[in-house]
Amino acid sequence: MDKHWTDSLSEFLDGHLDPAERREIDRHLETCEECRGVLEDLKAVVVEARGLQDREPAQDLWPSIAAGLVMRGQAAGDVIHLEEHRRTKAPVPSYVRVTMPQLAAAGLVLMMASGAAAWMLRPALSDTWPATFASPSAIWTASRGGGPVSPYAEEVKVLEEALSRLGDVLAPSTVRIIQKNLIIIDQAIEESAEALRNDPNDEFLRDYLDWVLRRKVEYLRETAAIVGAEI
Amino acid sequence: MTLERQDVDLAVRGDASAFERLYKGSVARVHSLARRMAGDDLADDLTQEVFIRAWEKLSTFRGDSSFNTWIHRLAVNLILSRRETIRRRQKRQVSSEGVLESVAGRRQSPGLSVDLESALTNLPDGARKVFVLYDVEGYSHDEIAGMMGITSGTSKSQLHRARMILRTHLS
Repeated sequence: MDKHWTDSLSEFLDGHLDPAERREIDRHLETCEECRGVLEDLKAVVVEARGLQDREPAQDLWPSIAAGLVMRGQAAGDVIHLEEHRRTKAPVPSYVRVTMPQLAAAGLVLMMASGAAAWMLRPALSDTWPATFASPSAIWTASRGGGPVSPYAEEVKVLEEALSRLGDVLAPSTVRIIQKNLIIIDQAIEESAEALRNDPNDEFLRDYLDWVLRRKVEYLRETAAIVGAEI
Repeated sequence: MTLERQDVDLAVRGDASAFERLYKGSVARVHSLARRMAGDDLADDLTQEVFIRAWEKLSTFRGDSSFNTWIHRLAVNLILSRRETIRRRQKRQVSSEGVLESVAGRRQSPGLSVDLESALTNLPDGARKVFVLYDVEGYSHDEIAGMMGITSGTSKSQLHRARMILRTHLS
């Protein structure tokens, strides 16, 4: 089999050769059985490629995409019509169910992803902001039991628990996106709290910290609504 | 106005349900493209990224073509822009000679039926992308050259290379 000829067979097949080259190949094919065989193989590959059928992904990717949209929508201030979405949303198919270890891992990671995990895991301080956040925003400084509190701490806890209970129906990729988004939000919370510690009288920082805290609870609310978590 | 166009308009205004309907109508094509061009491992992530990108860029959709065509083109561009990531994840395909040997070797195994989809994953990266875009998706060599930043001649030779490897799967 001469490489000179075979290298031209795809272009011959696709009609990309000029008439003179085409005639030359035609003449060669009349006498070369091997090249005729290669040409037939190439034709078969093309036919098979054009007949390939599209397939749905093995698992429903929509919950993960929807979680991503919520994050983008909040960032851009867009509206996501969750009520309508909930009404039309099909139940999560059983084939995306994950194993119990994955459920445990999902719940654990959701908790760990929260920058507030440390204080949430301590019953006595479950709704108390860490003492290191010494000068919280006016909105979340209402004293409860003597310590500074976040007005969202209780709701955050409830929502995170509700989401962790859904570990058996959420696809691992969904859990991954939720974790990623929570980590981003918690990083913003930590950084703004740190800045506020260094400059307790900065009103912008107070407002910003409050805004980020609200973003977290809103994200959890929207995510819980989209994935159908029962609160 | 078509139902698809109505859903696009609703989605542009932030209606996630409308976008979900668009997703359901096009996810098989986008995911199949991602799987063929980048492999099973990356197909889910790329598909998610494509739809999130589509949501962000939906206001630029003018309706000159169908939503399916629009998102397909967006998917091709996004997947091609992830070339380096995909290449790193496919280290096993560094040696094209090794690929040729392994593909040819499969043909010798009695009773082993390897379909074209799985054979694609063993092609060298460039040859696979050109093959998918030309033979499966129907793009021209000039279009592929433009999208991949190569010459039309390179596109033709990569296509021939891919076909010559894949022919060993057909008996």
